[in-house]
Amino acid sequence: MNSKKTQLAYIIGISILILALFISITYGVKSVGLSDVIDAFIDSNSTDYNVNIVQARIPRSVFGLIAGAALSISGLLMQSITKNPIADPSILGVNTGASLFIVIGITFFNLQSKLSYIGVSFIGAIITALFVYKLASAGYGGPTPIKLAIAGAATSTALSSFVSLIVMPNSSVMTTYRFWQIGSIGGTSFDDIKLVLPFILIGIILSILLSNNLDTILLSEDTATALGLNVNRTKAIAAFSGVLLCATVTALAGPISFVGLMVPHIIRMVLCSNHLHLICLSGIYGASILLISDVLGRILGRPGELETGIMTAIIGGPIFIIIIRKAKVQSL
Amino acid sequence: MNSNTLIAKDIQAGYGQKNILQSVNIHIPENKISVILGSNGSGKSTMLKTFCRLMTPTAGLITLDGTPLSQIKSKDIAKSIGLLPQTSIAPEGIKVAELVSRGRYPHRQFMTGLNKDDYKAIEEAMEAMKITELADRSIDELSGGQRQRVFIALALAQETDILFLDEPTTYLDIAYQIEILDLLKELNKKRGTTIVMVLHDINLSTKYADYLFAMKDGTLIKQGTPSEIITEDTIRKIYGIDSVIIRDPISDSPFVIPVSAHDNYLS
Ligand SMILES: Nc1ncnc2c1ncn2[C@@H]1O[C@H](COP(=O)(O)OP(=O)(O)O)[C@@H](O)[C@H]1O
Ligand SMILES: [Mg+2]
Repeated sequence: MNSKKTQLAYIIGISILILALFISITYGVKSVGLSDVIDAFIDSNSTDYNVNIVQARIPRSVFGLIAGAALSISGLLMQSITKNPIADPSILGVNTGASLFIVIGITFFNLQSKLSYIGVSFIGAIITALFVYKLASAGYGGPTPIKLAIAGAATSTALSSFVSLIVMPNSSVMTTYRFWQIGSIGGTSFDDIKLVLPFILIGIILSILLSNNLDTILLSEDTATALGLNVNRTKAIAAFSGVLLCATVTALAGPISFVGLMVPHIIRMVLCSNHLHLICLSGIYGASILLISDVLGRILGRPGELETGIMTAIIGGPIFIIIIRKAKVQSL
Repeated sequence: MNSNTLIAKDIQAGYGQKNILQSVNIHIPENKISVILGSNGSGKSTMLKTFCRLMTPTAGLITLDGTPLSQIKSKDIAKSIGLLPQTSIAPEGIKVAELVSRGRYPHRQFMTGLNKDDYKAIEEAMEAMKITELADRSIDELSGGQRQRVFIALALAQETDILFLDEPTTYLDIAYQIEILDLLKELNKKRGTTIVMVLHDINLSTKYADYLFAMKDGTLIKQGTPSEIITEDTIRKIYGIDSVIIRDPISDSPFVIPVSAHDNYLS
């Protein structure tokens, strides 16, 4: 149903994504041309300077694509299971929870491998998400959008101060952490991509498998149960996937906010509520937004660059305010 | 095989420690329209929820064609028993046809789109509720009566032999109430769907129901045909009010006129 609009959304989305990917590879402190990109693919051992630049940028662009898709789908899942338009990894404080656990791991348990970062990040993220949701559920009316935002902000602030408390006195941790604190996809390598890909794929495949169930869960819980849906199991698997997706990205790139908030929201507004399409389109547009933010960070930050996380916040902040104003009168 | 014999034996159910249903025994009349009457908080919704296994009975047994509900897969139960809950919600901006299509959930295979049977069921459900013309409208643009018909169509698309409806006509004006009840009656006649609903209007209940159940404080205090159980005594027991009962001049069913304290009427 509504298939013309959906098809159009795919065509536009994929075009933007290809364009964003191309710009992300070619544009930078030193810009290169299309021929260099083609050469980089044809001759991987080339010693040409421009070709080498392209080869160095490809991992960053591919990681950005994966991270954007993952964060966006993660936000979508969280919004659907909480029926709350502003649920998102950053709003729920999940990013900060993941940060705190990673910092604790580095400082006190001498964690070194990126795989172990992903592990502790996941644990920190899931604990924080549950805590914030519980906190927002207390009192009259359950977890309303506003209460969720406040609970998330308060928890985030508290957790950030713990992070500072741990990081400040440790200068060695401080240096590593400073880059990581603001989300950035700048320093990523092909090894990083290989590391995160299995986790991201698990998260995305699980959510696609759940798409019929997620469509049903957006009805009232009573209706969903009467339709034969196991509501709690669906929520649990979706929450697992959502947290896995954002925790994996956060472990390597640091907290990148607002992508998961704005992309699914806009797609839902324009295209409504079929989860199979919502998931795919959120992935496509989320990847584009992240790549574009990253490129903008390189343009605006010249001669250096602004971190991706700063750019997504600059773009996403105003959209967040619009959504929360709308959310006062409506829910999902 | 028509799976539509639904029997509850000595069921109890409640919320947390609080027990609401006190040992209810009920055999849902097959292929009939039944109406549950009772004052607010008497446990009508709780009973419907227990039958649709939104709640598990803490004691007793509900069987569908002889098999305990707890031993049937949720999706299979959902192919036999449908529910319109007391309040329904829909995702913002969803189109009518898409919302109705959600009723196909129990029939759908894992990870597949809608098939021919699905589209047929959706179409028939929309026809039965006379909302075919609204198919492409957004649910937010509809009137209360239209919305309610969409949600009933969602339950109809489920193609169940038994349909529970919790206050399908509350908040609707009399024209919409009659419209919805007529549509349900037609459904019952055409397809033999067993319908069980909670209504607050006693006189509409007697007009449409083949069978009435009266609830008070979580127990079933009376059951029978409207003529059998609508008496001044039963009305006093259910609602605690005095009344005079006459005959509806059109359908000849019992018609209840409540007595007000200002009526100066001595019963
Ligand atoms: N979710 C709930 N949690 C706790 N108590 C409830 C809940 N829902 C209903 N009750 C209580 O159960 C009793 C019966 O409620 P209900 O079955 O909804 O009554 P009815 O539908 O007949 O108005 C009431 O006393 C009500 O307060
Ligand atoms: Mg009720």
